[in-house]
Amino acid sequence: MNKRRKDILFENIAAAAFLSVMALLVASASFLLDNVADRRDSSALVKFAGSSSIGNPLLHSDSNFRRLYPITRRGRLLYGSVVALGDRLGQARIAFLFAKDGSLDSAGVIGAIPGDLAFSREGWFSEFLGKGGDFAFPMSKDDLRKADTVSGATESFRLTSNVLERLSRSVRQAASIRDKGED
Amino acid sequence: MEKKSSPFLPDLMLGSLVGLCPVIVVSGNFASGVIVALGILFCTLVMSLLMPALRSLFPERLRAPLAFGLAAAFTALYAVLAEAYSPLLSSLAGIFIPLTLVNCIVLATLRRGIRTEEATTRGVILKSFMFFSLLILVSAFREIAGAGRITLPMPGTEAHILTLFSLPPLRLLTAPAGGFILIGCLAALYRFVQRRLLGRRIS
Repeated sequence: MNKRRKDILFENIAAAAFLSVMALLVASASFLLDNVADRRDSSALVKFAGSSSIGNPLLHSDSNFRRLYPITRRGRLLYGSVVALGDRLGQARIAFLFAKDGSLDSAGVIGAIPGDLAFSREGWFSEFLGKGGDFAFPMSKDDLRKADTVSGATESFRLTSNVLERLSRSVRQAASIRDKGED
Repeated sequence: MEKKSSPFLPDLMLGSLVGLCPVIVVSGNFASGVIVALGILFCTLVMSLLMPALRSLFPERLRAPLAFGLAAAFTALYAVLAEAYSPLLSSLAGIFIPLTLVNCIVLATLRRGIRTEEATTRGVILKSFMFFSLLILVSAFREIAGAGRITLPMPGTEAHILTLFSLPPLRLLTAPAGGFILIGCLAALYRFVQRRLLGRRIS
């Protein structure tokens, strides 16, 4: 190998090492700050559930929630998660508690920033829940285009119902794995 | 003979109408405006300071990929820090935090840094501070006048919102159209001041 080739190889290795150091720096910062987020979420759930018995989180790669905590409240096992919800009506972080059969036990807003649209100013999140039931509306994206769905609450309801569906599925999976482990 | 004046640094946003995408979208809310403005300022300052070292350490063929890799790393680092500072505000700024990497001002910094003959770090820093200040002022004005409130960029999971008017005086300002109108008016005022008071023309 001639000298020029050696120099080029050395430069390329130096550049790769430099970028690897940067990647390590970002990864270690993410790792440290993820612990901060973990502590923040668990303390918010403990405060919301009124229980001090909280287990290690089960990690998920969902875009709206990342950790699912087993919580024992008055001898009953619940699963809790802090969910980030947001659309053009605003952004909110909500604590959800689920029973192990996947049904919603309780929900509470930790923080919310309403959007700037006229219909999102008043209680936009409070209307997320309690609407729907057996005949939830809107049921599909097509429903969103109908004249009846001018209310921002119905749009937000669809977003929330999708997230709750995924969260409920995760809770059922976590509960069944835990039950199998106990058996 | 054309008279040469002192080096002129036109404002990137108002003079050159550069970097308008994040300005129009995030400046409807003061807190998200601050988060994005800080991200752009952080990336620009760090890159301005590191580019001379990068130039002296690496040959020209490696400078561009390394500079982009470095900018991507610092953008990712800022995104992680913003998420830790306030997850709510970070989600409010949304995709515009990662998009800091391809912000026109950051790209201009990289371009100048890669070319040795255009090493004007001071100019880039000054322009970044002008962009930062303007984005914060526009965000504050748009949220106060358009939504009648101001969202404070405080740490934690809770939102800190000060309601100033029960009925916002100029609701249009919170919409993107209102943002364009405001930036247009400010750009016209900037040109007027430059032409009348300083005798400069901006093409």
